[in-house]
Formats: sequence, structure tokens, C-alpha cells
Amino acid sequence: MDYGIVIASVLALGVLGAAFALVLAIANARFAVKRDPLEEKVLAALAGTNCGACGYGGCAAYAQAVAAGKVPATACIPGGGPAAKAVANLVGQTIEPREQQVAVVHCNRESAPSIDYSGIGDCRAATAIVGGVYECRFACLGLGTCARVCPSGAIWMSDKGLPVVDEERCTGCGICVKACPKGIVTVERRADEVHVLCRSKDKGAVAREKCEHACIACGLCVKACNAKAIEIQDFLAEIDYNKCVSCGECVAVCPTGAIGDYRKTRRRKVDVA
Amino acid sequence: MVAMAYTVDISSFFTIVISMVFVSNFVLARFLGLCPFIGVTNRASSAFGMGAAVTFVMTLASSVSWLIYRYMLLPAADSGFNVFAALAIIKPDASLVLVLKTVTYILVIATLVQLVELVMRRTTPKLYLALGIYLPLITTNCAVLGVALLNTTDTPEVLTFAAATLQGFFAGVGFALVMVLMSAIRERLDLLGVPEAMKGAPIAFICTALMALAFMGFGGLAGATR
Repeated sequence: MDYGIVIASVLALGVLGAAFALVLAIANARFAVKRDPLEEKVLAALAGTNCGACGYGGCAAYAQAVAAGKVPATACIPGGGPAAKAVANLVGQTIEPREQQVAVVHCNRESAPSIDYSGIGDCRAATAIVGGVYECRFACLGLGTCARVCPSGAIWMSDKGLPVVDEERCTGCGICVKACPKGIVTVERRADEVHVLCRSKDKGAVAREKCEHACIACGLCVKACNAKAIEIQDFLAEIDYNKCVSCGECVAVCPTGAIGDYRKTRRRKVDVA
Repeated sequence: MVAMAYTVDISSFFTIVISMVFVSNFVLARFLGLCPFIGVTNRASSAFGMGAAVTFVMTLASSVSWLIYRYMLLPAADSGFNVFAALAIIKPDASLVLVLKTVTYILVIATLVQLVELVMRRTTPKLYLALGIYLPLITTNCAVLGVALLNTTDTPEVLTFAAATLQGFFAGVGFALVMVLMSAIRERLDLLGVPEAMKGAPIAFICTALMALAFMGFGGLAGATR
């Protein structure tokens, strides 16, 4: 029997393997990246499935972000409670029970349709094709994409074609936030009752012309606010929820009704229907 | 003869480009690399990143596997030089190619991917993070092994080193092209009212089949399929 081929195979693979190992070893030393030792400990505490549920491109990326102190320690879904506790201990965070968060729809448009849209009934498709279907280009398109993507069935469309959030059912998962092409939906603490119901960054006069409920950047709310929580940026009032006490003063002075008090309108499906 | 083995003339250059990118596209004509094709085409950005990474690995794998094939596996009578024969260890015959081809190529590809990963993590950490899990996955991408094997079948003609490398590069370009095209289609498909049972992979495969039909039209272009 000819053993030449056996010898050659062993030699070829052995030599190649050793050579490649050497190259990799040299490369590893030459291109070594200094890692935070904390990062490695955090990585070890995670589930290690690289599932991406935390929103990062793998466990290593999330571990890096946590070790840098940028993000909460609780994002590892497959790791669950144990992983969250371990990570929080490592990075010195404390895990607090989360306040209930709900989706808030920042549009209360009273705007005329700019076109007669009869395309695909999906806000993302309509945005990709025509940009918008109302005079106000920042307005909610009302095609109900957020309601369809909601896994909890917590959003339904009002007669005006605006999404309404059933806050008993909303889990604050934020899927609707990602689905909305206009960036109209955000997730906020349920305890915050007062919200700017407008996303228009048009100048006051233009915005007013296009929508009756537009924020016209008049600044009355800024003056009225006791907590100094409102600022005008890009012709749009923004509430800093860390300062806001939900007193409702701004709602009273807003000349266009662009700021809404959810204590009056908030409600569950049964209340409205 | 030896000098010739490293060059490529202009007409075969264009034959390689047309056949690798269009006529014998790895995804649509050879049906290789379908896993990343379906898995990573949800978003255009990740599809492009994966395409670029695969192109890079394919090019390197083509040239390295060509050298190994030519100077380690082929008998000296065919290639003019064999490292085993030269060192007088054994006199390899043609069976060595059959036995060792696939396993050495996998070794080469795995090493290259590791190497690329190491270098990228140091030099371009952003790109490294963007590719994330896809980079190590290229190790098991059959399109990469496919191009290395096809480069060294010596049919219908013996490829030069340059031709093999170019073939690897343009196979990767063809792969990347189809990835990006498909991601554009799938980003739109997401918005349509696709029936529940057809959502995701089923409709993606149907679209792939239609694309493959369209790409068959390129078959008349070159008349020269590799």
C-alpha cells in the first residue's frame, strides 16, 4: 500500500495549519486591542447568544457600551434578571423598578389633505413615495402603520385618522416609535400628563396656515411654565420631562391648542368607544 | 510559461468580469451563498457591508488557494513545481488534489477570516462593529469555498494567478450586487400587504427566482460561461 498520500496529507495540513497559526499569533500580538477588563467580565455575565435583542450588534458591543457606563444594565433579554443583576453589580448600577411608559402621539392635526392618496395603505410606503399626504409635511399620515405593528393591540385610529393609545394595554415597547416614518410617536413616562401635540418645524405663520393646531412658536408656554421646562427649538416647543410637573399652565395659554393635557383626553378604548 | 502564469490579457479580463458578475452570478446562477443572501438582505446597509466583506475574503481566498493548489497539491509534472517533490519528501500524484483540496481551502478561508477580523478590529473598529456577527459567518459561506474550488478545477482552461484573483474579486462583486439589489426589493416588500404565509423567506425566494430568470438573460451576453 502506498503511504505517500497519507504522509503528504499530514504534512500539508500540519505545515499549513502551523504556518497559519503562526500568522494568526503574530497578527494577534501585532494588532492586539486593549480591552477594558470590566468589559470582559460584563461579557461573561451576558447570555452570549449574540441575539441582538439589546439593540447592539452582538454581546461584545453591548458589553462595551455597558462598561463605558452609557446604557442601563438591563438590556440583555435572554439573560433575564440574573444577567441584569450580575451586570449591574459589575458596573455599579442599581436596578430600579421601571415606571410605566406609554407611547405618546405628538400630532393633533387639523390640516387639509394635500393630495388624494390612494397608494399602499402604509405610512412608510406613502412617505417613501410622496413624503406626506397633508398640507403639513410633519403631520401624521393617518394610515395606521403604528396601530398595525403594535403587538399589544394598544393603538387604534380615531375618526380623525389619528392614532389613540390605550394606556392600559401599552407596554412602552417602542415598536410603533420605530415604525412611524414621521417620528411622531415617542415613549414617555405615563406620569407625564402634558405633551406638545405637534412636530411641525415650519415657521409660525407657515405652520398656522397649514394646520389649526400647529405650534407657532409664540413662546407663551415658555413664559407660562412655572418649572421652566419648555424651550422653543426650530419653531417648536419642547417639554423637558425631567423638569415638567404636568401643572397644565401651558395648555391654558396655548393659542392653537398645540399642547394637550392628557388628564382630559387620556383614555382607554372603552372610554372613547 | 511561468511568467505567463501570473498575467491576464484584456479580453479574458472582460470575460471574467461579465461572467462572474452577471452570467454565472454566484447567487442567481450557481445558487451558492444563499444563507447570507436571505439572512442579511433585510437592510441595504448590512447587505452592502456583508457584500464588501465577502468580496474581500473571496479575493484573498482565491489567490491563496491558487498558490496552494498549484505548488503544493498538483504533481510537478502539471505545474512545473511541487513543494513536496522539491523537498524530496514524497512524489505526489494526482490523488493528492482530490484528498486535500477542500480541506486545505477551508483552512485557508478560516484563517483569512480570522486575520481580517483581527486587522479590522484594530484598524477600522467602526466597520468591524458594523459587520458584527456577519464577519465570522463568512467562514462557512459556501460561495467563498465555491470560488476557490472553481478557480482550481482547470476546466475549461487553466487559470493564471491573476485570472484566479480577478475571478474571486468579481465573484464577490456579483454577490454584493445581488445582495444590494435584493435588499432594496425587500425593504419595499416589507411595506406591502404580503399574505401572512408568504411573509419573509417565502416571498424573498420567489423574488430571487424571478431575479435569477432575469439574470439568465445575460447568458447571451458573453457566450463564454466559466
